[in-house]
Amino acid sequence: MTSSELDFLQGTLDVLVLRALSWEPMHGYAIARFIRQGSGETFRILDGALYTSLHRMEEKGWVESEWGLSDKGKRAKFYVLTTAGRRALTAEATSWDRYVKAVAGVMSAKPEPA
Amino acid sequence: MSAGYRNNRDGDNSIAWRSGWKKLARLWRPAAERNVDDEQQFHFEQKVADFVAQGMSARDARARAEEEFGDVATVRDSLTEIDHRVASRKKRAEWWESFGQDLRYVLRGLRRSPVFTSTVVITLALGVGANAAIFSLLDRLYLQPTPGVANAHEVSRVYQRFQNRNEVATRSRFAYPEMRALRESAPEGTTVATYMSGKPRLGRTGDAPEVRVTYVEGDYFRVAGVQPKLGRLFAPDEYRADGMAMVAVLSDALWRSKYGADRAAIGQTIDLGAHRHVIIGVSPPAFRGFELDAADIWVPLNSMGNLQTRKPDWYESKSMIAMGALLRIPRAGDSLAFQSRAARALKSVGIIGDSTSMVFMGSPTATLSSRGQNAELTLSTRLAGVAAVILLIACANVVNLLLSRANQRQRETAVRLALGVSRQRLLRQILTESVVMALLSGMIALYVAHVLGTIMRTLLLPDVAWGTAIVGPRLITVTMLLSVVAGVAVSLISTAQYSRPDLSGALKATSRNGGRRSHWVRSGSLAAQTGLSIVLLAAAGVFVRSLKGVEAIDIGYDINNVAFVWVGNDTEIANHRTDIIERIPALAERISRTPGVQSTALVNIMPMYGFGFESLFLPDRDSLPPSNGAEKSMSIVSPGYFSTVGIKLKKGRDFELTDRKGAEPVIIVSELLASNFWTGQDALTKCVIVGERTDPCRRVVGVVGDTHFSAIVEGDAMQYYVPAEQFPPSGSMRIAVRVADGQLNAIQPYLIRAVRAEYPDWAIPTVKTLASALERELRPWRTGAAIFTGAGLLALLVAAIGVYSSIAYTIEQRTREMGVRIALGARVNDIVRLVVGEGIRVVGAGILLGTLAAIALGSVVKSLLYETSPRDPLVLTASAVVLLAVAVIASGIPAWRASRVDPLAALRSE
Repeated sequence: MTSSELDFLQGTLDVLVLRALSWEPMHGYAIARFIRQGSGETFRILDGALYTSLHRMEEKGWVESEWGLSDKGKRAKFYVLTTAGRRALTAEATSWDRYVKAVAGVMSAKPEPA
Repeated sequence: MSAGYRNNRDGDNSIAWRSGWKKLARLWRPAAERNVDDEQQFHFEQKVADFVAQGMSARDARARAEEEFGDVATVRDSLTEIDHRVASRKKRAEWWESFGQDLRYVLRGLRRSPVFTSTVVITLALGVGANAAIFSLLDRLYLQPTPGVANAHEVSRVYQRFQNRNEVATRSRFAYPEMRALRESAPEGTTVATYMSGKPRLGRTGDAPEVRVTYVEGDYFRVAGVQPKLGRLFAPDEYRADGMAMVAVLSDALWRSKYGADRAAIGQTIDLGAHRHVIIGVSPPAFRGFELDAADIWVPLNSMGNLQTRKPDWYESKSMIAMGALLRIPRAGDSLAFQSRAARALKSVGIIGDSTSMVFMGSPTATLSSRGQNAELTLSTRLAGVAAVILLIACANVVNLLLSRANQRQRETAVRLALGVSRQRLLRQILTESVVMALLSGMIALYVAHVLGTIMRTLLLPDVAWGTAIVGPRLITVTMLLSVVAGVAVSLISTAQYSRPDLSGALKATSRNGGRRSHWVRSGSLAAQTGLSIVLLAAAGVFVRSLKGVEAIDIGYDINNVAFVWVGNDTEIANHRTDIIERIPALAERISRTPGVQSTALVNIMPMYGFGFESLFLPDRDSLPPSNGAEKSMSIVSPGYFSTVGIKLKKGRDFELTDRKGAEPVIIVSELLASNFWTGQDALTKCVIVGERTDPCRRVVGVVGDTHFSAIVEGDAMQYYVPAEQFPPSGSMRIAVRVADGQLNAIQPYLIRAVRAEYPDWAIPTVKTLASALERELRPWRTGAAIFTGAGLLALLVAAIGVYSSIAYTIEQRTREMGVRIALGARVNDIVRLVVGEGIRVVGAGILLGTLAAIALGSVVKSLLYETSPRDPLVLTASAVVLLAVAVIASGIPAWRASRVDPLAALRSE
């Protein structure tokens, strides 16, 4: 993986993770499952990258973590979105939305006669 | 991370989160690693379980999970790294948050008891402020480089340490022949300069102001590393010794005050008495010379020569020991070799110093006056000790205050501990509180330092050009540091009991028992306070005694009724105004007619302002008897001089008008000289030769009382007097004027008027009194006595407050016991005896220790005392008695109050 690919993925991955957490606090494995299923198994994101993204965002103050019990009663580290994280998600989601629409628009446009 | 764990990972890239020993290792791994591993373990367990549930074999499931994870080791490392950062940031945030809580808690507490807070803060501020003030003084005098000097570390001054009678003395002034010898011993590449200071009048009129002139020889300004602010500095042919260059460099200050900073000043002339100089340059404002008092003008030393003969009188003089020797030695290594060469060179000139004397290089700032150690400077270094003692007393007092409050708060503290506040947190709050109080007192201490520093600058060292304000960055740093150190130390000492508080005991008991440890700290600080007070009281006592001793010194003259009048500056008169000299007797005649004047007489030198010397020979001996260190001095006088200045005629007669040229040569000697020359014989039958051995022998016609020679504190001098008619003086005579009692100050304007009337054309009248000469000399003695007395009284007051509050506190703590005792039939006297006895025991121990300390420290102030032992038994006893009396009174008041306790009320108060 080249570094520019990583950067692209990093930013995108952050949005996906934030989005996952916007539903409810989750542990890392649940987030991974959410993204895998949400993308219809399209994104093949390495779990390691996902955890790196989580910890980085914790450093940035976008998410907070605390230890709790999973639904199977095991000790797991849960991540919660902070106010700063929510704000970041809104900003990222808006620009992502614009980007998607722009790409879609170009893709569906036909050349007009000169 | 443990090394074993790491190796395992590197060597075998399998995921080993389940291995048993790793679980063990996890227990002592740092929290960040542990959390990362746990999180990953959970992830893999879940993932594998899910894959297995989908029908995969466990082995395939694990391989798949690993594949979808990526590089486990790398990820683990980077996660750990991030988590470390997160953890430490969180810790910092928590620290600041709890610090904020502590600060609020502390500030609330301090606001709640304003009297306590301000007492502690002000007490500390006084102690710290006194030290800061002394620091500001010593910093300028000893620590900071000479202002305005470039590469100051290369510049040093020559000092010589030598044996003077029975003590080791240091000098930093040399005669010019010695300067030549020093210059020859200077290493290659060294710049050498000589200078001396004078205070001529700025202008030719008699009432012109005096200016501080530095007469320089050699490349003085290159030693200083100074560039001219305007114009130029001295050129080599101007600063040579054997020239005569009438040029001058002004200080920036004088250039501004006298010429309004006008560039046109360059090229103008400036008069220093009869000497007219051309201004060639202005020095930069920062540079004010190497003396402690700022120089106004620099002129070449060679300009001091005789204007008519063009012959410098300092060139070969071995008695003009007034020149400072400055060196710029670029290579530090050269300095040592120079010192031994210089010692030999000085010895070869043979003025002062023998084989035991040594030369050393020191601070270029002149902290030694021409007469040796400056008494005011010595005093100011000793004051550092006084300030330190005051700070210790203040600290001891604050310890007492803090202890009292800690005991009052004992229940609160116990409750907080019981509620789960950690001891560490408690200690941190105490430290926070002490730092807050220290910073507050530091700020007040700066003000105290400003006030005390100003007083000391004006009172103690008024002539020093301080240059900078007292409060500057250096002083602020030192003050704040000292405050915080003192504050933290004090609060740690007074909270020693917190380290192991008896929780349940403290909760159960009331504030009755202060605890054994706090009792010891309290007694210790009380004893320390009294002990230190004894030291300061004793110092005050010996200084006052020494001042009394100095004031009682009889220097042999009638100080209160004699003034001296003369016309102009000696060299000017002596060398080119014979018309003025010839009119001196007429002036004396005019002055003697002034109302209030009882008599006048002539003398060539004003006593205490100079001395004369001519060789003496005894006709029947090869050499004079050893003088045992007494100086010899000759005065040329007119008849009536002795009665005019108050020297007692012991034997024989005064000079008479018949003792003129051509008559029998006569001489009058002082008692000391007579007994030294002719022990046990009648001096009036003897004769002495003055001048050359071939001169006629002068018959001794009178013996007069001894007088001091140049200073108030010195042995008598061997004085001898010759009549002016037989021994014409080389310069102008001074007129000694005896005035009626109490008229000395009132008559001075009339004396000046008389000079103006006699010399309407050219008059520089000088009127000086012996009293004013002595006043200057008495100043350090007076200042020392005043400062030490002030410090002693302050210490006494603080000690009294300490004793009072300590006893009052003890009694308050024991009210219940008192009540029981009184209820059981104890008499008032017993109660008083009990309480006072306890206080007195502690104070007594303090007094004992303090007396021992005073005896041990005595030698420190010995050099500042006149014929007073620093261990004077009377003073030590008196100090102890005074302090004991104060302690009895201070403890008696609360004890008396205690004796009026109503037993019922006391018992109920629990």
